[in-house]
Amino acid sequence: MKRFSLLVLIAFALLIPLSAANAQTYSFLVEREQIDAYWESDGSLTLFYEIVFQNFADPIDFVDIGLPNNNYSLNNVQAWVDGKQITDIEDSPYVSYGPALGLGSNAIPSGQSGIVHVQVTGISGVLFTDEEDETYASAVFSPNFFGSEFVSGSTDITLVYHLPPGVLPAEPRWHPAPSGFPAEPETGFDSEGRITYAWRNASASASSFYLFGASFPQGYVPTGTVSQPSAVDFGNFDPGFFDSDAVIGFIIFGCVCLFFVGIVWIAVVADRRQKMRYLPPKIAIEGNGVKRGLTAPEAAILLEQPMDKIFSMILFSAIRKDAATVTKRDPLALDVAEPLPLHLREYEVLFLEALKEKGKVKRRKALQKLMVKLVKSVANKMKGFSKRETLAYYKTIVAEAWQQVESADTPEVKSEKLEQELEWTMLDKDYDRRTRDVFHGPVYVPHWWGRYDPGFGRSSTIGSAGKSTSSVPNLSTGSGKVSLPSLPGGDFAASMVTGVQNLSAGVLGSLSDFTGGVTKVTNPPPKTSSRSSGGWSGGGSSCACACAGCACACAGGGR
Amino acid sequence: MATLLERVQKRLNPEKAKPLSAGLYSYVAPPTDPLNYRLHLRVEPGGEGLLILNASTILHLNRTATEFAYHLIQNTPEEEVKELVSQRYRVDKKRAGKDFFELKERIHALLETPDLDPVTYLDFERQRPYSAALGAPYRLDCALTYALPKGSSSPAAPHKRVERELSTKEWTEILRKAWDAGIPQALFTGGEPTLRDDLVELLQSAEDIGMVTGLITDGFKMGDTAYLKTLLDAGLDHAMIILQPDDKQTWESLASFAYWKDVLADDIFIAAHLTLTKKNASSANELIDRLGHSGISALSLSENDKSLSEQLHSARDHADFIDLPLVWDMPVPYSELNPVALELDEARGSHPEGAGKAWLYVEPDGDVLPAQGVEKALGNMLKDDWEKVWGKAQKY
Repeated sequence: MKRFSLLVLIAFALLIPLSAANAQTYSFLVEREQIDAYWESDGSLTLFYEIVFQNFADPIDFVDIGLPNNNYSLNNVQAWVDGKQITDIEDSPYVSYGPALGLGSNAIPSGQSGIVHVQVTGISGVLFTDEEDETYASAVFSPNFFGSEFVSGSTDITLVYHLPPGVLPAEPRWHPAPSGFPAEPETGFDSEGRITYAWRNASASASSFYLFGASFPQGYVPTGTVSQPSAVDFGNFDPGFFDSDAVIGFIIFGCVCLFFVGIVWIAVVADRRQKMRYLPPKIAIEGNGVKRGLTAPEAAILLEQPMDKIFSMILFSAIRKDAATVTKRDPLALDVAEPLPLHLREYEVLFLEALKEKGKVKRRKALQKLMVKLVKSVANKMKGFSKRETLAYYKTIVAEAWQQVESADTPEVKSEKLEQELEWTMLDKDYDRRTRDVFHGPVYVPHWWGRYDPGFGRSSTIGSAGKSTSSVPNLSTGSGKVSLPSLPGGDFAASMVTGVQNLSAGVLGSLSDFTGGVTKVTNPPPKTSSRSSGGWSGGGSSCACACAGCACACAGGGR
Repeated sequence: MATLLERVQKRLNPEKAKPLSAGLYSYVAPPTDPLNYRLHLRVEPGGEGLLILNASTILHLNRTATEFAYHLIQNTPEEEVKELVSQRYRVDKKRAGKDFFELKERIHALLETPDLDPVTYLDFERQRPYSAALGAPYRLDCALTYALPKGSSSPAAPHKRVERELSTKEWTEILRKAWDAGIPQALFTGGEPTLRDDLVELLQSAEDIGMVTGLITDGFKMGDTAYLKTLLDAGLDHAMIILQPDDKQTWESLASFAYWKDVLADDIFIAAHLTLTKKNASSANELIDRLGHSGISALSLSENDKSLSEQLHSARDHADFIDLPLVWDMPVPYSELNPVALELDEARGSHPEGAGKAWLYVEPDGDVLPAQGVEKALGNMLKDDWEKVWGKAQKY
């Protein structure tokens, strides 16, 4: 049982040289590599890998897993990195047989560790007739290993063989262990009652080739799933059975055959040696990460919020800065402060100027012009920064704003937080529902509410310092016994939403038409190109929101 | 004649395909191409590359992408690219062809739509500016002279007194040396570089080599339209005028640039630099509006006093709002106090520093500094080996 077919060994040695993703700047440690090899009752092999990487250099973006042969299907390969499923799985261009796992945005960053899990089922053609006992099947396997130029340090490698169901303890035999591993594996049973052989070396090398094996009676797997080793064993050759001419003829014939096999083999090896490894083309662009300092309406552009909502946010902002008072909500009419307060944003000034326009068409055009300027302004601000990271940043700000409101203990504090974070909370697409959910009871409306809601003002008086008092219902804050105006939570949320709807219907007209008028300027149709189109489009779709800072403001956007 | 054994040995140990040779390759789109673009590919010694689009957008390529970009620049027919790549790499022709096509499309998409976010829409990765180990800088700032026009004073201008100014021949030699080292762009500055009579000649030399050229000037001589036209004819690609708001000549030169840009339908990129001071900060928006109307392509902003940071941000917001893009990495007065650097500084305590990495500064006598105003000599561009200069720069 200790001798294996030479060619089978060679075959495995050639077919299993496995490697990780290759690049000049990869450098990592494999802390642990755990492999479970299930030798199935149908003669196939199922593999489970758990590989723990500690990365020192460029992100590990691809991991290639070598398999014993080509008898596998990509459909049977599943993989995860840090628990997240890997969807980019293709045949590896580097290992002879096996998949390449594209980690994509979950690439393991420099200085961090990551765990890759791989499951491959249904690998066939992996069993060979044992040389010492032809009634036995030989199951030989070498775990994945990585290029020594990339990997450093020692690795805790464990390989567990799960023999086919039904194999009895006295039947199987293990093959000699590779150097560094215990001569005899630890034996046991798995949860399915299958016999297990476990080899472990806590100081192994992840760049070394280790070959393990076991044999079991062929009767546990279907006939035909065990191949004959193709080795020629001259050890038992008895020339007495043949005359010398026959022997010479056989040897010459064999040499001729080997010569041609050799030629082919040399050609294949030479071709592989001659060529460089092929990595998929990778392009990185220089740029900064998060663009901080955007205002809520600017962030709304980036988050592709509907335009009526963006205008509502600007309106709230202007009202809060004492720049305007709503005199009529439907259609929206404002009393704009004269002179305007200092420190208004340019878009707030233009917004108020637009709303001062008497004609509906003129007002609409002025607002469209403003939105175009705002979109371009955000695009300019975003130049050199990452849209993806910035989007994630502002989504976090919105989530934190809501978290502050929702975690407040009392209605007063809740209301106070809501006022502080109003524009950011409005960026949540579920603003209406969340407001209703949070404010079951009264909402202590902000002091400027009377300037926003003319109806509210009728039953209240505006204090000299701009603080409003209300008759419905006055509640004590509990501390200073100061009465604050309040509204039922549902009414408050409804008032906000109605305000947006009124702005949309009464000022902007058809939102999709209004938006179309903006996007035809900010996202013009693509220029005609003589090139054939491929998988990459050059932007320009009317609703692609493709530019770095662009507001898609897709027609009716985001709703 | 080689024996059979030798031939077998040769087959067993074949000459391995090697990455492309290090070097700088350029491509200028033909006049008929509406995109009117320029590409520079720098192949680094390991086979990785830098692809620079229109002297501004920097892409880092892995070895395979570099190979494809090389063929893009060489206009190699697609079938030939498939053949060549599959001969050199372990990849089949079909895959090579597909990858080449996609790379071309992604680069064209970026050229056609510069505002397109390449990470989100083109599957590019993002790399922090100046974080990569470079084989050479992207740009060489050449201070041709420290002389200033008579009667002018600029406290922020370089003040080092050099013993001599290099001759035209010596500057030409430096430009060639820079190109050979892989530097695709030369930016002529000073002092006032237009005081050098050989500026046109130097521009032409750089252009002939294949370099992108830029000029930083007070713009006073640009009012002479004949002179300006000679600069444009010599191949000047971009210019930045250091604004002196109170000086009428500044505005005249901007008008002149804008005029010639229209007349020649030239693609020259014109920027203006405004240094915010306590004196002009209150009127910054008006100045920016005026610049916006003058036909410039971009604005550079800095402040000469950190207490003006708020006004600087406000000025930047205004420039954004009137759709005047910002540039911020030019060797201008107080260039370290620009809005982007300050924002990044606030956010993480330090900002990406390109001095000594992405650009180097050559003084009028050939001494090399990491950047304008950084008084640490890295060697002499004329006398020292490039490797020595660059080696010192990398330790800066």
